[in-house]
Amino acid sequence: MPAIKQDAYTSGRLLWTEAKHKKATLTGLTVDNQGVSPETISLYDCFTAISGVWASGGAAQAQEDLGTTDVLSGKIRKQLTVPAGETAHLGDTDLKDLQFLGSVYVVASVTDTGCIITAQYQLR
Amino acid sequence: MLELRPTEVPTTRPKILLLDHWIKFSDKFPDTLNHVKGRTARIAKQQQVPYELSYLLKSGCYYDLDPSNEAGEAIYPYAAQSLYEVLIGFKPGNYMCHLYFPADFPVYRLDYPTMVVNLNNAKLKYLGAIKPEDSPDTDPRLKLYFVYKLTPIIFRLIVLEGIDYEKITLNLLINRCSMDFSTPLPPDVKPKPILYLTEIAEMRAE
Repeated sequence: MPAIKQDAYTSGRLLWTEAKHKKATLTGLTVDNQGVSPETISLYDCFTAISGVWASGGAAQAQEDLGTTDVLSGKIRKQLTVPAGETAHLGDTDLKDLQFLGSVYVVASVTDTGCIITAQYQLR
Repeated sequence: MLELRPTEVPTTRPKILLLDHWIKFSDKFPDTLNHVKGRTARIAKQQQVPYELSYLLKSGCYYDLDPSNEAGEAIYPYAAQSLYEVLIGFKPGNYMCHLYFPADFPVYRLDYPTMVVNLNNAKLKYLGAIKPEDSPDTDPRLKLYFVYKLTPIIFRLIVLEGIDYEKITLNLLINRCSMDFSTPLPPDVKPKPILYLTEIAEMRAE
């Protein structure tokens, strides 16, 4: 099972890139905030939705860019706040219904190399 | 004393056409498909080609997947003696698929004239819908036959409402067959019938 470690960064750090024919699930998430201030961690799902047609009515739906050019326009799938000096851990049972369609970035409220985010995930 | 009984050997039909299998195309194929219409063929060569297609769509929207060569995904045969037997499996997700052949004519319908899929109708939008669990990617049950110059079959992939966005993934196994029309059908062989899709759609109770 892949795992990745990143530090807290306000512009976002990449956790994994989109697998074209797979969705992703998180199996574990740890935020070890040894920094000086509380951190709010957001997981952004970033992808492009293709153009389609609305099933009811038949109007056209244009292609949508959600976070592929600007991470902050992606979809937030998970958010948690961890006080300074504490560690939060979410396991499989907390995360099992969370699905990601595209590339996933972790965005922090404060840039701090003392706050480490570790994610385990699966592509299926 | 042990009673000796004959051992039962379960037999399973192969899921795909294999070498030296025989097929017979229906007489209902149109004249534009004279290269196969009403003809019997032996599978002379075959090769299985896996292929995946994915579409990421907004909730409540649909996308028309066209597998034909000119305007679509180019997974139709490109030679008259080729037959593509395509097994289509869907990865799990909140979506459904309607089949149209030709475009705008639903394959799966009932006899009563109004009983056809209608995406603007809360009940009828589910009529004839193929859900991912009906043909899962791990055990695909939807099978279609593509021949050279076949009119496009449209897969209308619809993301259900209320689920944000969805990634629709189709796992295809394209059994690429080369047909031999020159060998006469052996008398003890019953060829597998290949129907034209509208034969099923236009079926009427007698």
